[in-house]
Amino acid sequence: MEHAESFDGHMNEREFASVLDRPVSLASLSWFSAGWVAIAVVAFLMRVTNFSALPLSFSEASLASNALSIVQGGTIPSAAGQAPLPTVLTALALFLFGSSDGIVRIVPLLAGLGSIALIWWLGRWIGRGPALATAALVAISPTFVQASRNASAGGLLIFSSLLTLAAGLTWLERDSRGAAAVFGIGAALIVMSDPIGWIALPIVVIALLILSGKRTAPSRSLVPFALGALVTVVIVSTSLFVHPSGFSDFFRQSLRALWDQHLSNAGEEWHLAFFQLTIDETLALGLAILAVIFAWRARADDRPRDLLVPGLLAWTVLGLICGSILGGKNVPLYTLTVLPLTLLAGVGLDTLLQHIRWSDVITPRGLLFIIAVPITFFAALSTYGLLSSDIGTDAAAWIFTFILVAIVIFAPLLALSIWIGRSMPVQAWALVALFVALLLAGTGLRAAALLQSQTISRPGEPLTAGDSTPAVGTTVQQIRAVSRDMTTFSQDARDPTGGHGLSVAVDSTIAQPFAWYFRDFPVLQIVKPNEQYPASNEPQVVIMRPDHPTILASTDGRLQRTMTLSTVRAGTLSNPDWGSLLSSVIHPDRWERFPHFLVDRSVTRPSAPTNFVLSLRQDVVTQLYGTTPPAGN
Amino acid sequence: MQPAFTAPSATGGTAARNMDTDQIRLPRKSLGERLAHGLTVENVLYTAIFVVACLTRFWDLGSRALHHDESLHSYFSWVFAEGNGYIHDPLMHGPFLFHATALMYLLFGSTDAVSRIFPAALGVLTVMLPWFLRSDRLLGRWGALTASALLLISPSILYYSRFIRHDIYLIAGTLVLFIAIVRYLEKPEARWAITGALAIGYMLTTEEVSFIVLFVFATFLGIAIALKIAPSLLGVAAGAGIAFLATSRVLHALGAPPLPGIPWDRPTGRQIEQFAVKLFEHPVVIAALGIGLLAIVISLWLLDRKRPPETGWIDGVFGDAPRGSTASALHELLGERRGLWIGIAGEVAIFVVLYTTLFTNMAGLASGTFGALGYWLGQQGVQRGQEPWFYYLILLPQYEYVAALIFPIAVALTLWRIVRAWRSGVSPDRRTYVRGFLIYWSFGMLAVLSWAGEKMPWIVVHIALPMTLLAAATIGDGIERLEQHWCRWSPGVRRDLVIFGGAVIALLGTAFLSLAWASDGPYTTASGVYERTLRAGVTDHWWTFVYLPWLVLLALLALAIVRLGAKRALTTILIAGTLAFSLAQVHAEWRLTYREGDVPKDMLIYVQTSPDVPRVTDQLTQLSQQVNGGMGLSIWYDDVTQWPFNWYLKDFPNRRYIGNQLPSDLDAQVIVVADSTLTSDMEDQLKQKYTYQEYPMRWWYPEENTYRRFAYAPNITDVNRQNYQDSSKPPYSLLDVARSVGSSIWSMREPSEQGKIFRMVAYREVPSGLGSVNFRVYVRNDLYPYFNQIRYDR
Repeated sequence: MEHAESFDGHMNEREFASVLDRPVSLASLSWFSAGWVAIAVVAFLMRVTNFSALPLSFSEASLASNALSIVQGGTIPSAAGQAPLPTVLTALALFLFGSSDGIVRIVPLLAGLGSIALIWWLGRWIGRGPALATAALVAISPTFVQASRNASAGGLLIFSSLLTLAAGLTWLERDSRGAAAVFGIGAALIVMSDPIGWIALPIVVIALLILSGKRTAPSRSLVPFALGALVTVVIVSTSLFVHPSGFSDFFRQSLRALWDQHLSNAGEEWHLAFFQLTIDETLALGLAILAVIFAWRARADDRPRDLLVPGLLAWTVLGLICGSILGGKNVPLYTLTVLPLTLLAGVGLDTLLQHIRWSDVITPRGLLFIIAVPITFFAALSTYGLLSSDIGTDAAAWIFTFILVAIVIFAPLLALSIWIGRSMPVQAWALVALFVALLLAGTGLRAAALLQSQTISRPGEPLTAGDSTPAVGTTVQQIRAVSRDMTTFSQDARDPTGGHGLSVAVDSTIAQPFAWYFRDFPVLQIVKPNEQYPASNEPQVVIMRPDHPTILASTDGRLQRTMTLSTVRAGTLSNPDWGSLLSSVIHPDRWERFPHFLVDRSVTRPSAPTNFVLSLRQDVVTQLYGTTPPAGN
Repeated sequence: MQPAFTAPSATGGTAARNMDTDQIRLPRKSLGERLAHGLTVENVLYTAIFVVACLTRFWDLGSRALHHDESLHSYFSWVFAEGNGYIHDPLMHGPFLFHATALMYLLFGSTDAVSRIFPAALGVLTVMLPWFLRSDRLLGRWGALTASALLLISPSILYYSRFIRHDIYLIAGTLVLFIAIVRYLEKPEARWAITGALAIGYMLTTEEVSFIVLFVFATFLGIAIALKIAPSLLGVAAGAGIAFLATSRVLHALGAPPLPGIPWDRPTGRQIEQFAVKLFEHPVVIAALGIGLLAIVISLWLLDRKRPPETGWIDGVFGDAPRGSTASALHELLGERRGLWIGIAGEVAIFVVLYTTLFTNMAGLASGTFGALGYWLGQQGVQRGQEPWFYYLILLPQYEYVAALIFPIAVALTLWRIVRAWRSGVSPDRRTYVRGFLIYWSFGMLAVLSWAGEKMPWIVVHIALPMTLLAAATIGDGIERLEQHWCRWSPGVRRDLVIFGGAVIALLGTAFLSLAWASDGPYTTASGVYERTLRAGVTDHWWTFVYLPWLVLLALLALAIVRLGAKRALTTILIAGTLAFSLAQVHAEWRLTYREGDVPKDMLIYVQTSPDVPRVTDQLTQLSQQVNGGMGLSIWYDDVTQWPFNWYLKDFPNRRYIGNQLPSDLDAQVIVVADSTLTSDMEDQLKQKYTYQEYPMRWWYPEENTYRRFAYAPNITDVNRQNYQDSSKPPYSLLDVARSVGSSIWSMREPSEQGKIFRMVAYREVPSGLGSVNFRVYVRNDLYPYFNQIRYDR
């Protein structure tokens, strides 16, 4: 009881315990909690490192420009209605923290971290162990990391799918009105995250029904569900009622985008969904297969029927089918498969770990086995490397090395590993599987960490297709620096600080991301390719596609440079040479291509990036280069 | 004393019995045990606030260019740190900042970021200090927590927590003093007396606004004491004030000269002596001394009549003061010899040690007392900045939305409680007392600082602090009320309140976005300059587009009052509104603090060094490293650019100050010179060997086209700056001023004005370019290609 002096001076006994007095007991912290904290930290670091290293892509910049329009009261193009949720949330972020690339990407970052929290919530149904394992996989998964770092890459789609699933399971379990409302909100968020959400929602609902074992929703909570969904759609699509046409725009534009981007070219590049899983989610794929095997064996053991693995498997298969059939392959589409696959993989990882009795492992025999297996593996790699390499001129040296590695090191190690493994039959294969999983985790971690690398070329990475190249950022910085120096004192109400007075014209076909980066230039113009400036009125800076040179009447006296604009998916992935691919599987001398690809994403047919031409008027050239400018290209 | 035995206690620790005194010492809990079992939601929230405060105050401290004042403070602190001593100069206020910053340089090196470490640390301290006001009789637990949260997101306090000026030093000390006073009033203990005295000593070593703070605090406490022991004293004071005003008017009418000007500009001893003589010979001063003496005599007589015979003065005057009153606390303090003397000793020690620069400059005792007060009183006539009387009234609501909006509510609520208490015949409770103190403090600071001749944006934090605490107290009351009754309300009522609160936040967001949309018209040049207009067609439908959300909000409030009751509805709207406006504060402060802290599109940014200065310094550093392999680039700079370049070029050993003349031997590699220094001859001379780039050095907010138009400002001595509203000529009477205020307020009914003001406050869209003082960087022609490569990153 606390004695409180009331406002009129009388002493009252407080008959309640304040929220502030509620205990937060650290004694309840366990190794599980520490594991969650560690995973959250790893997930945060993976997503935040080099966060804004690359400039915004076309789609990110479009989203950013639309979001800024909301904040500043500008006119929003109706096409923005196809994904109102990321636009509105980005608008909120820009309102709070100002407009910069990092803030544009903060929404998917928070969605990505929030997804890990939602997986914790899902632990009630999938199990604490599988939830923790799933979270660990999500933390380092290249697909999830990319979705968390790119503003248009489906981070919100993942978050809302998990939210819908968790809320739906709660609703079906408890018939709670609050959960029903949250389920409705989540469902609305899915379809508003990306046009692909219209496909994702029914898949999530099917998965929900399978996982819960129920077929119908409680009728008394249907009203909160419907209200939650409707209110969410109305509020978000109309940007808090300020754009009433946004409600109809959302349905129209979102469904149109679904058709234009995905349905109208159904079947196109159908293989990419499989490729992306194999390339980027090798670990999850392997663990998911393990989960299915474990579940199959458990089924044979006559245990009570567990719907978890079948439900997740069904979800994964549905996602994979949709991901394969639908055209317009992009990261949001990949998440249709990767999300349930990772949940399934989490179950597999947890089950795998349960097969390992750590008390038996931390014995001399167990430790020896743990050391022998990796060394055996590396020795096998070296042996293979020797076999696939040229003997060269010094055959004796090659033979000596081969004997040393293969016969003196590898063979005995292999024999030792097998011998030890036989004495621990239940765990040997599990430990080997765990070792393989760790190897694959390493490659996945590398892939995730290098997604935003500016210096390491990875032409075969499917997740970064369409990203802007570093050249966009350096070009923008240069132009802004020159403008600052040339027009510092050209100040008016449009540009009170001055420094943004260069006349910049951008080809409308590549308006973004340049429109975003020059948004504070009052004389920025977006021009159609068939429009032309007379020689007397040329903009000082023109950015155009190489095949649209007619924007300028004449390029005399101007410096033209061709720069890279955005990455393109490698030809090897878009149009694979199936014959070569299959023969690589058969021919051992080509096997080394696979680990190379896995580690370096090196391909035989990388695609050239798209380009843009930067054309500078003479006065700008003089400012930038002085009296001896370089030759253009 | 060794324990005779140890016995296990119920908690698993051990208790020791002291055989001599027969006391049981309870087992002390380890930190782990405390953490495991002692953490509460409140602790966690304060910890979270602390972490966020550290992040927001310390992150990216060095990216903003040093302001002119910052460069002075940094430079002289650096000189001190380099072993070249420090002498107190009233121009740069108190010595604490210089000693603290010099220490930081000694520990961490001298950079822009290090310059701001101590202010940032004090900023964190200021955020956390409300923890000491958690008592139910002060702010209450929710009130204190809210105070920390509001201080965390206060735009002005955040910005100036990352600014090496004395204001954050002072408000930290002010808050400590306030805490010491109210805690002592709550429970007189020596530690609070000592804390308060030390705080006073510390405050006096920061800046001269401390005199104003102490004056406000002293008058409040004096009034509170007089009300209890002898209300007639207030009458005597009022009478003396009126008598003095009347006397001085009569004397001026009879031809008395104005008071002698204070010699503030490095006066000699002779000048000071002459001033003192003239001052004490002046009839108004003589009258003031006479009236003052008479008032003191009358007061003493009244008190003597009141005190019982054969009792001492202290016991006699204060002895029968009601327990818990301010007078009673003063009685305790005067009886608390030990604490009082320790506090005074500490206070004097701080003052003496710092003003004498660790006893190396005994003249600092004079410069720190009469010198400081005299200088700043003299400066009031100079009116540096020439700001109008309404400066803070315009400035504060642009940033401190929560504090400004809740202030009138808090005043009304407090007055109502005081009236209610008096009508019941009881004294207002301690909580009401604290709120009354905060109101007096806020009004006092606003009034005195608005009256003061020199008004600067950083001073606003001294007004923002009490207003923020007051707002927090009011919000805390509301949260307490909700918390107390929440469990008793039905689920339906709770749901309705949550929905109502959510609707309030959503509608406020809608109102913002509606006005944003309606005001986002194109720029036109109809008036000869670029001017933003409203969106086409909205003027005729302003009610629909802009006022509708507010009308809906009012209707919703009415519905909520009917359905849920006035108290619940109003409490909910208070809390929801606070959340919504807190987001708006984050919007204002983030850009101001982290993005454009050196771009004066904000009124809070005053004559700021442009970001070009540190940028150019970086480029020159790179150039030096390329060309000379180190920092040996020879750079000349003139008397106008010396501030801030004294600081920015301090690491270039071959820098040279050239005054306002170019040396004939032009052999510097780089010359930094202000536009105002250049003559055409100098330009011709430089053009032969150098190529230049021009930049703004200091730039400022376009005052004339914005807030100065609000009303006439006859307080400004320069008559050309008294009126930016219309073409009428001075002098301006009080009625003229009132009319000009009315005219501005009346003009705000126009949609175009509403749109303009909205976009100015929300997006910092100013109506014209920024004014600036410019400088040129002349780079020798042979080095210019390298300089170009560096600045364009080629």
